[in-house]
Amino acid sequence: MNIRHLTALTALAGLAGLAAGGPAMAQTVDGSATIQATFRGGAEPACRLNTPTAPTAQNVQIGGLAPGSADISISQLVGDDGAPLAATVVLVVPAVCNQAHTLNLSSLNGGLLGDGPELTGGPFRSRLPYSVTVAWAGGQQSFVTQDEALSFAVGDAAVGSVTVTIEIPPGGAPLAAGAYSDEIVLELGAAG
Amino acid sequence: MTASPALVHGWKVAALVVSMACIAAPAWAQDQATVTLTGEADQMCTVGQPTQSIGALTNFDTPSGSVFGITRLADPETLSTQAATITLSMDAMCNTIHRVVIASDNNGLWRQGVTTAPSGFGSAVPYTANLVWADQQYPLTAEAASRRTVEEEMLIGHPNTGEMLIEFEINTGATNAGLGAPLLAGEYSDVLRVTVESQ
Repeated sequence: MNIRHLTALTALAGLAGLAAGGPAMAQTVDGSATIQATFRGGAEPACRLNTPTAPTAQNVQIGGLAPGSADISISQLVGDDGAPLAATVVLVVPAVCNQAHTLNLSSLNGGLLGDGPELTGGPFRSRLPYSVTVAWAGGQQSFVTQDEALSFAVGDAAVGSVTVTIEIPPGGAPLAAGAYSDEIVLELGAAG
Repeated sequence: MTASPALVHGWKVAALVVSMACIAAPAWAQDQATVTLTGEADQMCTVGQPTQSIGALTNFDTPSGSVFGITRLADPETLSTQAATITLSMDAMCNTIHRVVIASDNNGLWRQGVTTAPSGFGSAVPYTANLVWADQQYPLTAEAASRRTVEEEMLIGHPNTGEMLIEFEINTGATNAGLGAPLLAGEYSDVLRVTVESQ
């Protein structure tokens, strides 16, 4: 009888030693033990624009295409009569937004703006408005650069290409001599 | 008659010798005492809580309990999966032949909330969890093709004790929408369970 008690005590002490000697053990009396490990991570809301291509270019020269920028020069801005000539360029910008987002597009100068004095009357112009059409995520919108900006919301994540079509209309009042320039800013922003 | 006392005396002496012999007998093999010792070792398996082991560690935060957080699940440029690697260690023991099961609750790291993703986006991240035990390797592939429980089971034909490892690995660009697809913004998670069970 005493020997049996001693044996039982020894076994219990052995278990206590296991429990105290290392990390907490998951152990059950039926010989089965289970542990779990949770793995988790977050994907932050974000939008990215990559290097554009210019599959269509009429009367323009593509100077440089890089992630986040494109330099476009109009080959011949005006004709012999001083009136603007038509020019078109289509930019295809690979883009991705991983949640609902907003696309914004704006013209810094409200059109191609000459580097001379700004003319508000008379036979010559110092600013040449043009149109921009944006297609993205199954939607399409256009605006003319004298409007303030273009903006539309996309209610879900989207991946693909933003197609930006820039069209300079021919004709109209002649342009005053000078160098004309504008900067178009295309912005994709994740909501929230 | 004079001899009789002597005879009687002699008999008494002889009787005494026999008596002494009877008393002394147990000390030199004419009787037995048997002591039986019995005991039973129950079938038992133990496994400790997982901790970060030495070895490859990429893109994981400092562990908090049994939660292992990936520092940056999505690459900030591609928005697709960024590689992550960690090795977990558990002290384990089974004193008989036993079964080991490694199971994933979700078959990948799945995004919480929306179950359908817009075309082109990943909403789950596949991974592999390689269980190392008893000098063998047992890989579990959570391929994230569908959200379900998956498990791998192996029978170990002998008792074993020592360190059990889980080598957890996420590959660059791995998503359920194809290699390099962007991940939908959100929180992703899965639970791995390891069971050791005597047979």
